[in-house]
Amino acid sequence: MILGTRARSIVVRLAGAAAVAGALSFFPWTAAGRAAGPTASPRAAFTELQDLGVLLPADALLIAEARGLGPAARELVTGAMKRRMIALPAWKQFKKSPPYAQLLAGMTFVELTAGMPVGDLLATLLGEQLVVAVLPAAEGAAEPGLVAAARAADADHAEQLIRAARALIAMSKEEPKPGRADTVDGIDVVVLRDRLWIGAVGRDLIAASSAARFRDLARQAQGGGADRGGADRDGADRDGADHGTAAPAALSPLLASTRARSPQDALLTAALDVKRLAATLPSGLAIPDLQDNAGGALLTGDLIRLAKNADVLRASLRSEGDGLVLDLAVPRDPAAPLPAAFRCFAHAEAMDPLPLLRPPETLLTSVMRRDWAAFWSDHGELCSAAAEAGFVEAKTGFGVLFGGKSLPDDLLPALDQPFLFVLARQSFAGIAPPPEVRYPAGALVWRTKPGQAGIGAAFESAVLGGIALANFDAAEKQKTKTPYQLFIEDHRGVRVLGGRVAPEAVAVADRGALNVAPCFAQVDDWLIAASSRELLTQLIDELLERRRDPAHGEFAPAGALTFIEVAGAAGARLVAEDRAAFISNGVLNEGKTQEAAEFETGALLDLLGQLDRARLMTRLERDALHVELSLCLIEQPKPAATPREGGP
Amino acid sequence: MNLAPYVVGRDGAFGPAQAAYLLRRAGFGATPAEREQAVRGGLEATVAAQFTLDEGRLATQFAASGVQVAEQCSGAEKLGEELPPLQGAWLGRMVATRAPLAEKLALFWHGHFATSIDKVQLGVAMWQQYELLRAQGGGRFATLVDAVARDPAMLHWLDGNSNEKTAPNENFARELFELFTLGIGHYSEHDIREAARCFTGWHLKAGRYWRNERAHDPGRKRVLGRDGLEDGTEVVAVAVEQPACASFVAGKLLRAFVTDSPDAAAIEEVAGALREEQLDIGATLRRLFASRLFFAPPHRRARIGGPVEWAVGLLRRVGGRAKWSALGGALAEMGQSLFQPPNVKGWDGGRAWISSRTLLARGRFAAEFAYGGGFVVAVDWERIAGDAIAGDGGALVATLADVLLDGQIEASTRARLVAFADSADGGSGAERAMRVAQLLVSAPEALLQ
Repeated sequence: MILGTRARSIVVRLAGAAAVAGALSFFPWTAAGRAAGPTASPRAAFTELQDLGVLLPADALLIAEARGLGPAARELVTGAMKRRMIALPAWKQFKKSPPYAQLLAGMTFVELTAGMPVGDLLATLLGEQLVVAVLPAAEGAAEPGLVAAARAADADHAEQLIRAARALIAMSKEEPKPGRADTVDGIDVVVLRDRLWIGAVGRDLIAASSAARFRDLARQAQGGGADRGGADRDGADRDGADHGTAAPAALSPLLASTRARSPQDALLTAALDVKRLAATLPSGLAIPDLQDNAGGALLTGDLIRLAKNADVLRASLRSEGDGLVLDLAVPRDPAAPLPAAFRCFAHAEAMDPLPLLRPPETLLTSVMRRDWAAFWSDHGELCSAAAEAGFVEAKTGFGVLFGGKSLPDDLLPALDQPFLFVLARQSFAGIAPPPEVRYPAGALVWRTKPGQAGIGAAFESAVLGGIALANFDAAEKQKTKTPYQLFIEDHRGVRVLGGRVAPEAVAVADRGALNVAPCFAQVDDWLIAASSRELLTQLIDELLERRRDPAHGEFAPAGALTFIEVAGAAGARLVAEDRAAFISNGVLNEGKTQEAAEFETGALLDLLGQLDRARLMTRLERDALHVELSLCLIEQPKPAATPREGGP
Repeated sequence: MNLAPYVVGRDGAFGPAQAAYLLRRAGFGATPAEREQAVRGGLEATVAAQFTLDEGRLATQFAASGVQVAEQCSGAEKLGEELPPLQGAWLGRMVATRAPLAEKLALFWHGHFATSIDKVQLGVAMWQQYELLRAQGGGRFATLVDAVARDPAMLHWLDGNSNEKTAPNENFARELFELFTLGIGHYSEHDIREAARCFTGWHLKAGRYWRNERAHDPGRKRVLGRDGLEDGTEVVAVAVEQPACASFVAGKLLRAFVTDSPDAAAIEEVAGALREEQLDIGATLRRLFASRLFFAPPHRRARIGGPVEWAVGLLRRVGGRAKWSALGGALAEMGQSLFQPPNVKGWDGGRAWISSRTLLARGRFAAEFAYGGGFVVAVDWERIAGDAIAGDGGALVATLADVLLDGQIEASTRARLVAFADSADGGSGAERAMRVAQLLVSAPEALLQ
């Protein structure tokens, strides 16, 4: 174990060999520790539960269950993820810093204390199976209760951790001490701040928020108290091999239903009993029906309404390739649809294809399905009065820009449901030098309803009007602003109009203006407003391909209502180009040292470089609205195969 | 009392107190280690080093950040966002630099050629002007004034960009004589009108100086008694040749580097040196910093430091860091907003730094400096106080006063601080050091440089 050896040498340097040697006498698995440490309680023989799930009480508010998290954590610390991490430039830089030495020393201390490598420790703590339940507060108690159990690989590991925890508490110089050692029903336990009782039953680590709960839990963990004599204290049952297996007990309905509805390969599942939680709160679930923020209402109105009325919310975490997917399921009754005022969320059309645009160097692509006209007409039932001023302002502003056309009466009714937003890195081809700080380009894309494509003319005049206003502003600030030069051009038969600044005309302090060229184009029933000519051209090309071949291009997964995806590669390139600006911001605005700002920017760059994509999506299924968050790392190159040597 | 060299031994010592004084005036103050190094090196070497030091990598990085921020800083609506980081870049550079005199001179000339971003509205031009003042602030005064006259920020600030032969704008010509070179009483209205004609056509093109021949008045003019002048460059040369110029600049240098109230004899001493050195600012300062006049006891701790000097000095002494952009705002509250002098005369300085409002702002900074967590990154007082952190009040006050005030506090102040540190209110450990540090930097002695 090279890491451990190096780390120990650092500890010795830091703390002094004598101190470490002294401390080792507290660790019970060393010879000195065994002599000095607390006497282990007799280990009783019992029947190990087949399934820790039976320990979760039926009145739990929240339950969580994990299977395989321990091995996953071990993999994180010692496997491919570690190899991925230590190959990063930021990690190599981190290795030269004092915090790295501290980390090594800390890990060594943990290893010495736990008596096992960190990977094994995580695997033990997270267990083969881990179950947790949050319970209603007991009578007279202010805080909710908690029970938890984790199944370690063997009884030695579990007992060792408890002994180590007791030794650490004994060593602690903190006053008052962070915990105490105790015995409950003959089981050695650690009591943390009189709030959490932790002990080992065979290879199961169990924890509860009171002694009484711990006692109950321990008895259940021992298979309902079945005692097979208790004579064999340290010998045959040490590895747990001769434990019997208890007959399956009944699972709580919450856990049983959660298992039934969760993916088989889930690493972690959780369920919140919303009704029970509401019943325990003095004022129930204080979630208002109306939101103050119109954007929030548009994005999450249906989700919040369904969640508020749900019996149980369920979540699961599963691995998928080189990534993880977190899924929150908010149940819905297909027989009881959302109120009429919620038609703007377009659940009825959820299975229609929802197109995605992905130009080169995409940083973010998103699409949202909403009925815009319905949202405007029904917003009074989704938004509070506080949001009303925003609607009035939008109506006035759009009226000015769109030549008097009414946003609710003329514009929104002409737009179909998909609304796309794309961010992409710009190449600035042909602009020398490119702007000092590079901004990504953004584009808004709408689709018109059948027969409404004529509304594009109003968008054209709005874009030209906006550019005229910007130029008026520039004229007022002659020396600091560069006016846009209007252009109307053709790209593959599509008329493109907008404004851009000529590089040679850019004011000295306005190089940033090269980042922006507001422009517009219409491709059939698609309306595209972009902040750069380069991005607009790319989107036109993509939509022309769709015209040629309707099956061309990507679509969000079936049932998607909102889809947002961030791509790491282009983000990494953008951060690399704007590295100096990121560092300056860290130093000047956040008070970081130059080294820290450089390191953090490098780390961000590395992380983005490892990220293939991050995706947030709401997706409708028959009986639930799902919120899915997924992170996927770039695929690691396969290690080259070692050439096979000759010989037998 | 004159500019004769200060001879160590004959005129006095060059010990920690003298070294601390020199490094306060020629820079922003020194740490105990820097003081000791100066004493070991001796007066001559210490003075010489102030003019030859390299600013170091960290300060260079702040300068690069400043350029970058400045290039994004344009337009009135953006200044609210971008001015703080622009100020922050300079403040960070002042704290990080190993060559503080260059920054101190830039700050001095920023007050002299006071130009505000409020009117200029160009961060990049303001930064360029600062770099100009920094680069040429220790050189020949004539060269500096000529460069400032062509500086884009100045051309915006005093309307040179709209000075045309058909309608000469006198703003720059007036301030050139009144505020930059001669002072009131040494020129006439006729001189201003004629000088303004010489500067016609000094315009900007693509943000850079450009002589617009169509707007320039090529006729011959008479300025300050000299006939036949044609261009602004000649006006600058004539102005700095005037005897009054050396006296005017000498008074300013003395107020900035020696005393708030220089007497006429001292001004003439320095003016004489300036003339001998052909108005070379660096050479004159070298003589001043090594002179009997400079080290005269009445001048020590007899000058009220401006907010920038005060705050930058404190941060340098403890190796402190800040959210530099926010620090600029705190200094504005104290009465000194970099790149935003109050008017064309700059900051009045001296007693004008002190008012009920600015003292409250300094008090707020003192608390922030001591406790951190806001715009000042928490100072490691345990490291700074060392063994004194666990010592009695006397040891702690002595250690912190040495670091923060070169050990120079009144006996009565010291006694009260010691009593506080030894009392239950003083607290213990780092908390006690923070409280004592706050009181020390709030003491009247801390305002005096």
